[in-house]
Amino acid sequence: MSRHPVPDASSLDLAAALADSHVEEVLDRLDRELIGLAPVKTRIREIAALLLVEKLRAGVGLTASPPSLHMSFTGNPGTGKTTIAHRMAEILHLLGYVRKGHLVAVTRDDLVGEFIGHTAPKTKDVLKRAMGGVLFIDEAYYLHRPENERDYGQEVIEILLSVM
Amino acid sequence: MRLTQGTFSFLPDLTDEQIRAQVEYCLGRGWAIALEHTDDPHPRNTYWEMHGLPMFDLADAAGVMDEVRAARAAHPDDYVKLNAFDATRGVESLRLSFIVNRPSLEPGFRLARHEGPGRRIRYVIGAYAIDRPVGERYR
Repeated sequence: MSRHPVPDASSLDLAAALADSHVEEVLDRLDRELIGLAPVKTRIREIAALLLVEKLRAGVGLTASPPSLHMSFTGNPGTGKTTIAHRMAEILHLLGYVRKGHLVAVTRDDLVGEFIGHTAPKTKDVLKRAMGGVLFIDEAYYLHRPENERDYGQEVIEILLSVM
Repeated sequence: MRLTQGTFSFLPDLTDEQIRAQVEYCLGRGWAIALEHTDDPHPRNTYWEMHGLPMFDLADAAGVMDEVRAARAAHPDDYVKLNAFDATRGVESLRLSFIVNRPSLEPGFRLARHEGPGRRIRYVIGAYAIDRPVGERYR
């Protein structure tokens, strides 16, 4: 097993990296614009911190597998799930985890086709549009409908799983 | 004979990195990318077959590059070209088009002379490749 030379702690400047990424501005705006939601804000700060450290680690050759960035937002209607997703896309872009940082918001009818063979191209088209950014699936639990065995939602889930 | 058609036709074939950079430029301008393929290289053959649907509303070149690789895998012995369509009102036309895949062997074109009335000569260009049936061209 080969060991990478680990630079001493003084050569890594977390504060400078943080200032450099401008993530703090997004987080501050999140604090200002959204009332309450303290657990969500804390969680997002934690994720941002993790991603920043992960980026620094990659910079000095301490590459673990890239962190899984798939997230699920749950909550009542109107509690800011889409807003948070937008901010998350911005943070990921600032930290260099996505190339463009745009958000593609879709619902079940954007993914599921109307007839056999329509679903896969439709889903792949959405995935292509979301490449380099963030795909936000609204009401994702709606994709799978167990009561209808001929529903094409299952196909969508399989395609999504294959690219995740 | 190396086929020269479209933008950059007199440059060497673009590498994948260069294609990606061109696609990024097109997407930055809001142009839609489409892929087409053909086995008939005649310069007046403007109707190539589509490979999939045109790709609208893309933000990143990764999706296009995936399609380019899929088109090359599906038609390794065909010409594949990448078109960028500008839907701006008043333009509504192709802005950029270049070949991204070509057969390994390109037989070239023949010049045929047709003698008409009064010994008048008419010239006809034809590709050697299309003398053979579809599927056996460029073998």
